[in-house]
Amino acid sequence: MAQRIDFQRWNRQHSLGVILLTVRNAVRVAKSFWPLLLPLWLRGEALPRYGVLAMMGVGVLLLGYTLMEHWRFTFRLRPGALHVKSGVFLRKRTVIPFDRIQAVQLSQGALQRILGLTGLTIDTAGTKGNELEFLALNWRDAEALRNAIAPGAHPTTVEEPESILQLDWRQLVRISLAQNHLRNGLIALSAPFALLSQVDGALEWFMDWVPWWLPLVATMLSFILWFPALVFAVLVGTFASFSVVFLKHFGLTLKAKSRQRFHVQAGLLRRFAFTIERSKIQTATWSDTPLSRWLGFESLLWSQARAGSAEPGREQRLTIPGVEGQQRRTLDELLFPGWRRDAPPVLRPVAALRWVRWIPWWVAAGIWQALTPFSVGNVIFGAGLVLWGGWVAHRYVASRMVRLSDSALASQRGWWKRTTTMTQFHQVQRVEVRQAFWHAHRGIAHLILHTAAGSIRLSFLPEREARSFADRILHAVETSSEPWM
Amino acid sequence: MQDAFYLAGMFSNDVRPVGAVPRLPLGAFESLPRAYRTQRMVVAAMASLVLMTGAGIMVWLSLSDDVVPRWAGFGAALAGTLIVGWGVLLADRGYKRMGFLLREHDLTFQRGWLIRTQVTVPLARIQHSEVHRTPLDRWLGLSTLRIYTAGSSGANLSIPGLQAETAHALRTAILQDGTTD
Repeated sequence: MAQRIDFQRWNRQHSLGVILLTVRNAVRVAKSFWPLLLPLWLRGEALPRYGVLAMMGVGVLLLGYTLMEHWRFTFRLRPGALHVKSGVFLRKRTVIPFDRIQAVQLSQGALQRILGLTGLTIDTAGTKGNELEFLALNWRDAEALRNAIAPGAHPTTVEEPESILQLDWRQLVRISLAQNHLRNGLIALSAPFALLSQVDGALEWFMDWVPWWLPLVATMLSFILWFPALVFAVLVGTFASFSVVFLKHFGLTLKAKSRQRFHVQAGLLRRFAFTIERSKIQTATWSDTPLSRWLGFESLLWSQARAGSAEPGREQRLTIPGVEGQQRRTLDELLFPGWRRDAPPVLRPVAALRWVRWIPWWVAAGIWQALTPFSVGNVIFGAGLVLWGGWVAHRYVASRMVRLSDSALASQRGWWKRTTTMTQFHQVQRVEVRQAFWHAHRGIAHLILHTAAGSIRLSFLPEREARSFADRILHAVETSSEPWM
Repeated sequence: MQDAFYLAGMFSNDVRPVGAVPRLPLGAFESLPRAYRTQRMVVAAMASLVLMTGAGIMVWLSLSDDVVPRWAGFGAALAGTLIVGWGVLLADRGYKRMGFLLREHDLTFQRGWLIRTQVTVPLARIQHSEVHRTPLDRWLGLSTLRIYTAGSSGANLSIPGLQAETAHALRTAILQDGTTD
């Protein structure tokens, strides 16, 4: 089937998109009014007549606005840029040059799949949030548009993409098993209460509904029931983990095209396809837990720039779970050419850090001895606390290290849950050396490397090494001519 | 034989420093103009004035009325004095530790007395810059240079208390590097 849209002319989105827009706008309106509507519904009172009229009026206005919004949104491709006209009251004309685009994402929600439509999101790291969002394109048109505007797109490359990773159901089961079930279970169990507490009066209503003797019985039973309750939470959590993993990562495939662009595709009900250029990946973070280590896989997280992404937690993230050893080597080689995983660690925190981190355990043991009567058992428990603390402090410090290649670094931390954050030198855009005055006296400093999507913090380094490493990074950044965003 | 080679200059094997990259000269930082210390002092004095007025009211109330106990009045006076002293100390010491350094390819700013930070931004990574002046700044002839890098929602580096011509010169240097790259 040939593509249906001639991108050279002004186009509208698919006309079925009106349905999607209506749903989205209705949800938006409902979201802003739901604390008002829910108590009404809970009380089961009939709406007064003017209420019905008002709601009908709102509905008509909404529909009119939606139709206008759909009609006004037109787009076309010009050499080097995408032009978009949009807006109902405030008319906008947006021009997005291709080389400013950070990432293009195709996604299909459940409703979009029923209607056979695709959403397309363009991110440029310019202003707040997503720069531009198409709701309703035909999948082929969306792919054609993506291929025309995606970062680093060349019409001449018809090279077959190289498949790196494909998750089958067996791997999905393993990934699900390795999730934190207790946490997921508690979240799943507390979600209804969190929702209820949002509504004024709903919690009181719930408390009124509970008969007076139930808390009494529950308190008496809780001593017997805490173990079954824990099992129940874990079971719910396991179920939640499985659902989340299967819904999100079903059929995940990762492909590399001419070693420069990555395509990721996944999803059971809500499908998405993501294209990112190699140079736009700011940091790659590998993480594993003892369970996932035992099952033989790691999880990968790519961070990428968007508006405000330099602040922690605001970066655009893409998670690829279940990467196995050989696949990791392939990915490392693609992203960080010449990377050797067994390169000797070059930067470690100062050795004294483990003694400092041991102190709280001594304090805790001291408090324990002071508060409990003197007995052999208590002394053994205190000694155990100190020993365990020493071991934990040692593992904590020993697990922190930085490995290097000629152009990239990897900062490793953690011994129970291990994470390794990697970035290429030239992606650093700010270097910060930070020390408290008591650190300055002892020649200790933190080194923080800021990229456009999050930062890498190397704590408690010997000051001399921190400074010379900062010099080295700056030299690498300033002599590099590679694209970094 | 070997010596002859060396003497003829045909072969040399001098010691080469490992990791021969330019170092950030820690002693070469330029300090900020004296007027900026005045500005910090003025700000500290204004804050102190507010604080001491509050403390004064407490003392007056504790002396003249039974509502506020005597110890509360003296406590407020003591706490006020300590905070004002600390503020003035910070205004002075903070100023002393501030400094910037412009190299060919980057700009460094250091600040902080208790917690010391030193931030370096390569000029090629700067997205845009702005010069910011408050009324107090204008009165003292100072300005703040703010530098933004990619993906940020606020200024990543802001150098306060620069004289107008210094700020302008720094901006020119940033712009020049941006255009040659």
